[in-house]
Amino acid sequence: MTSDRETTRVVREWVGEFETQLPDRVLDAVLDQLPITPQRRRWWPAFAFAGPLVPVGVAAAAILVAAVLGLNLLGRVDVGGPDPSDPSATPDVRAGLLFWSGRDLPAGEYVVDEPFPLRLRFTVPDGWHAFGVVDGLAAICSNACELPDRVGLGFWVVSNVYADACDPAGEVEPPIAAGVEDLVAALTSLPRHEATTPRSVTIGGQPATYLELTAAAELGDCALPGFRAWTTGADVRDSPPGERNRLWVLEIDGVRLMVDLAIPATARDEEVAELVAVLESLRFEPAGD
Amino acid sequence: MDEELVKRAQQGDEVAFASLAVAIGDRLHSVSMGILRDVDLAEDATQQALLAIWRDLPQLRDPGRFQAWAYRLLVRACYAEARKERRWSPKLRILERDAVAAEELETILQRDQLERGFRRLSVEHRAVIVLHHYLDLTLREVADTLAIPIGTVRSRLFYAMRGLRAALDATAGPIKREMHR
Repeated sequence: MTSDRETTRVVREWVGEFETQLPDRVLDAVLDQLPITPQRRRWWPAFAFAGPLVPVGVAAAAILVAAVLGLNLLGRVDVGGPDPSDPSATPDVRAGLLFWSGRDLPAGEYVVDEPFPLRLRFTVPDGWHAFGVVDGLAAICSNACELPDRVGLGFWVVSNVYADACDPAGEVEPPIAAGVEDLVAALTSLPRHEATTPRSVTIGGQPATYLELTAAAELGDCALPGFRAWTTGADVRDSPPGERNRLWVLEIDGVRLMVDLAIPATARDEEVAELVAVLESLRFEPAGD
Repeated sequence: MDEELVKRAQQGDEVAFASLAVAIGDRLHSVSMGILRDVDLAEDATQQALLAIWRDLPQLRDPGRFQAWAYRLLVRACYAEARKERRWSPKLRILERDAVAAEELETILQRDQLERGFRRLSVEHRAVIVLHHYLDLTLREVADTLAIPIGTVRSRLFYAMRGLRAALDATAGPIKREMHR
């Protein structure tokens, strides 16, 4: 019978023979694919100007009132939706949000559309920064959108969540199904996050499911800037320790949308109130109008 | 590993990433070959791992941990390849007994039995063997690389080595009988 020591010696000698060279064709194939393989950005980095100007109007009416009102809306979960009787409900729009990618936003009303799969309209007060618009994410935030202290409002088209919050390759397998309830169920089970019980609400006049997630207080041995939570397939979401996320999940025109109000532990009430006011102004519009 | 290269690659510098890939490519491929024991699967795994490293590099918080992080993505890629339906092609050598000395014959048979025993292990058990015995990582480092508890590493290593020892014992009997004949 072979002893443990002898087994270890033989095995170590054998695995020493594993040494091999990476064939050039494999390396070449990898390098060839770099230009068409976008790097996954942190949520949300400063974002370079990425698209054409889409001017659709002049400066919007002042929206300070909405921001002030927002102070009273901190806890609201039924938010947004048009009020047809209010003539100020359709002010001129400053520009497509895409144009402002990576820049500070002047106060005004903004439209999100292509490449985002839905058309959204909302009003933003002064002092916010545009992450921009990509195919699965549109967002505005404070602090130039830099982690960990930015307060942010993101519109996400989530393709999957993470089973391992500390592993960039740790997506749930197989990926979650396409329904609102599938995403909500997956969110309530996210590792390193605590979730509230989901409940039915409205946002922008549409029925939605609302829940809150709170990330664990300590990053511990995670080698990521936050706890990896979900992905659009290109962009990923990392929750800094202690961050609270208010989430609305709904389906519009066959698109599963998640609205994320991200509130780091350092957030000021005024900032949160302003973003709630932005949500109060949210409208969903038919794409292509 | 040159942390400056890692930082440049994190910023999207393809030339810097190419240098990194050249620097770690052989080592990564040796690990994937070790775990998968199949040329085609290993090439696919290494390729997928290098692309995943490029794609997720901006997420790496500490460039000093690049190598361990890269191994983690590589092992994940190996797991994914191993789950594919493709059959693993056996690569057993045909022994020409007249052409080899008895001592060499024993070594070759031992290697073949090890190969058979290794292939019978799960890919998770193989990964622990390769990281610990080939890369010389400590059990703690293996645990960190695989993001599993150290107790799980110990357990996998124990069962993996027990399986390989059984394979070696299966070799020992017939060979010794043959040699004493």
